[in-house]
Amino acid sequence: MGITRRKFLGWVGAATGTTVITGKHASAASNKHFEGYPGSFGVLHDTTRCIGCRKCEQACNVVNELPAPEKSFDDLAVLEESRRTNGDTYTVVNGFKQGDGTSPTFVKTQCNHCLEPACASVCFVKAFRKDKTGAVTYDASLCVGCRYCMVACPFNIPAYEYDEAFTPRVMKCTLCKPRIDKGQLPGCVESCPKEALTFGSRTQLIKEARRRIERFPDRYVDHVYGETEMGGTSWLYLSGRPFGDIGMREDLGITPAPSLTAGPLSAVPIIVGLWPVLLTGIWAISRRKDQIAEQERIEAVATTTADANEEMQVKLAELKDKMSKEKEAAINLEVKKALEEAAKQAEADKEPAEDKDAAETPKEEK
Amino acid sequence: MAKRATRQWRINAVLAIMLMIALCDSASVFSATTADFQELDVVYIDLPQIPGSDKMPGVPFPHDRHTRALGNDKDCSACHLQQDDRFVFKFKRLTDGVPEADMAVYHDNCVACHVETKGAGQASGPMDGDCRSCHTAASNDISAWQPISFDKSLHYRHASAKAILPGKMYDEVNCSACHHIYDEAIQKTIHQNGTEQSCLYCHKSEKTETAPPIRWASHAACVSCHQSFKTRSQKTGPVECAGCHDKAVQQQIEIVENVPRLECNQPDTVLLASWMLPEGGSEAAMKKHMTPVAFNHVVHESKTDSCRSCHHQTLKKCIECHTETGDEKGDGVQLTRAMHNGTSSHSCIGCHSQVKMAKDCAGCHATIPPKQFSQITCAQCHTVDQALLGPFPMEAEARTAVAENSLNFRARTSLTLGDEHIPEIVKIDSMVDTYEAVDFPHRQIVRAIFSRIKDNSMAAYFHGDDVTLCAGCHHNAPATLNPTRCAACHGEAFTHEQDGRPGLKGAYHGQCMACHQAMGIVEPASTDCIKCHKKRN
Repeated sequence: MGITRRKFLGWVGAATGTTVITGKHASAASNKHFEGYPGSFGVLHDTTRCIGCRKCEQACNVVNELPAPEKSFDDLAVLEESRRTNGDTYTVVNGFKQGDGTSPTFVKTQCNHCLEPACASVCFVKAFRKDKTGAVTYDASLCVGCRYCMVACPFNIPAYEYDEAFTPRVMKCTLCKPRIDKGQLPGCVESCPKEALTFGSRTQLIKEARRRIERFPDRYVDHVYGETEMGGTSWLYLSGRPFGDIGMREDLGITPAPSLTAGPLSAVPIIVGLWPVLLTGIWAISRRKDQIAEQERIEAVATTTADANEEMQVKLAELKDKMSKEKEAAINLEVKKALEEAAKQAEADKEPAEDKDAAETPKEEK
Repeated sequence: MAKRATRQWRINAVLAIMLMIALCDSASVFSATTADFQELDVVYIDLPQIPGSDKMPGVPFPHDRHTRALGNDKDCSACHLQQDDRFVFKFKRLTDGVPEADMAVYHDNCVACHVETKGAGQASGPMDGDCRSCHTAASNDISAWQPISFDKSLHYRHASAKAILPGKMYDEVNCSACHHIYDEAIQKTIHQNGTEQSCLYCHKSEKTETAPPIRWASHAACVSCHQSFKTRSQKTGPVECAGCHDKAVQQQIEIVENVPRLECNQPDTVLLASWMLPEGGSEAAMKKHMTPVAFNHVVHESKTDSCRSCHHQTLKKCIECHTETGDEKGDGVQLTRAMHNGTSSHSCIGCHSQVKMAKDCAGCHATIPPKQFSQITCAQCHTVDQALLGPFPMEAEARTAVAENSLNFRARTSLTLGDEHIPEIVKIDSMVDTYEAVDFPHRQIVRAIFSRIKDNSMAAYFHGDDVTLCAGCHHNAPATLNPTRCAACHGEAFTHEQDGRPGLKGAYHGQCMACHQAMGIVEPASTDCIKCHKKRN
């Protein structure tokens, strides 16, 4: 194979990423739109009726046995500033001044008990659950305190008991689930003197809201906030002013929060399931390939070495031969030389004798 | 700690300062303050595109700034030519020519004047080459321009002004000074007695075949005339844009109360019966139609700003355009709709609905939803007794006599219910819990409501039988002198009836507080619980 591991992984990663991003969302409820459990409850908040008396805040405090606030609920000056829910307050009323000096608009803020809650979707220990009654309930015994819910909530509602060191809880409106299970009204709804809060089944409340808009078209903006926002909430709002002017987000869209993450999340099982197998397989093949290559290399080396040895032996033998021959030749030469030397010597020795003889004898003809 | 003036620290410091500058809202810090006069005098000069060339953005021309700069010695003729003693409010030309020619007119003359002014040592405008100083994109400033309504009071001031001479020498009245009609034959505007009507009937917002747009016409007529007075140093109306179109200045315009009736040969009383026109009606037609309405034209004249409140397109009779079955002239709007449309300001019911939103009336009427057409009691307006009609055909005088006869029946002005019918204090104790019972000052409130409406003739007409007034609070039941208790219909909240009916607590608080809010009553404040019921210990 001519490709490096890094390059290969890069290609695979790019391919998977492209598929996940551009491919269709394989969300669990792709064609379905959850309209709420049948008969689930909700509350209609008519902000044109609210007078900012804070009786709802007081009732919530009493019913849920929350700690007493710093400023009493009779103090209406707090409506001048913008407040939010916190560790000991499930709900707050905020006042929004009108430009033309008429009386301000008051809006009660609390958990909207979305049909498909972001907090429940994001909670990996199922501490937040959507109940059949419509309430989004919280189980403190399961909560680990990660506070993902606070990050996820588009309305910024869940609050945390930061001051509790050992058993901090996430605090938010419970739709008075214990009370509505008994057939009673939520505390805030019961205490509101103007019936700015109407309790009933969510579908009926939407009809009632539409009826109010039809009967008094000049009084209301033609929109029921919460009917479709974030896929629909159980808490519905009517207003005489644009919702953006009374502190309510208009940029949320109609997609439920879980659907926003369903696409990438649905790719996780595939990735977690397939990738280990795939990658292990690739690794195994790659390793096998290496092993075989190693084997072959060893074999090749061995063969080459053996051949080389043989050759070497042959060469060695030849060399030995050659050397011995040379040695012989050298010996022969030396012998020859020595013989010649000896012969010469002998000749030399003989000559003086012969000279004597010659003197004495005539040269013999041989 | 020793100051580490290392290179890195210096770089960090510079970056931090740059970030701070970028983050603070530099637009608001460095932007110019708003001008003294807001941009209501902008005349947007935008010639059509010359084919084959690029187009610069139009020029937002600040008119008032220029009139002020010209000072008192110069008048409109500094820039505007005259035709037939009337200024033509185009710039140095009588008609529009080809765009190239018009462009040259602007460029040459504007710059020439700027150069001249600069030469005289005064502040001046853009010169040659400063193209984009004039050709800026349309400003994002919200124009403070307000339209001006030439209502009855202004008209009376003009009509009765001695200084304004009539257009014709032998006329005793000023009508001919302004009112004219267009004579096609001689292609001129002339005055004809009896044809005076609103300018807006012919001069629409856009140019028509026979008339220039209202903007052109009103400036040519009004501003020219004011200017001529100004040059003679006589007290006159405004010549600057802000003089008519600035909200603050408008509020200072003198208003004449009780304008005398504008005599224009209009009827005092009209019998509204479309089937009696034009020939006088017949027995057969009477059987097929509603009984007529006796319409008090005089009273309605005094209640409206101008004739155009009802005669919105023409002074002719309504039936001439809004026929029974609908006509193109009436934009397809049938007579019934023209009379009864609840949302239009020109129809009877529509205008009445608007009057009901006044603070004195809104206490009850804001919470009464608009009735369906089928729920309205026709007999409140269609009161003429059919026995009075005939013999047919009925002449105009006879019809008017019937109308007057019917009107006289209806006048009522006083609350005839005696105290014996209006309980003084009503103790509301059906829900005593956190608070004590309410001692409701019933008679005081009824008398207070009545004192607000006693001079209102519309109120006197529509709830002159005072039992109807009781139904403002004792609602959703037949009007009666002995209404039932609220608790008879308002019980526990959010129960089976899905008709939006509040529970008893919500009903009490909703009724009282909604009325106070609609009427602008701040004492007692809605949040002042103990003002109405003491706290229980």
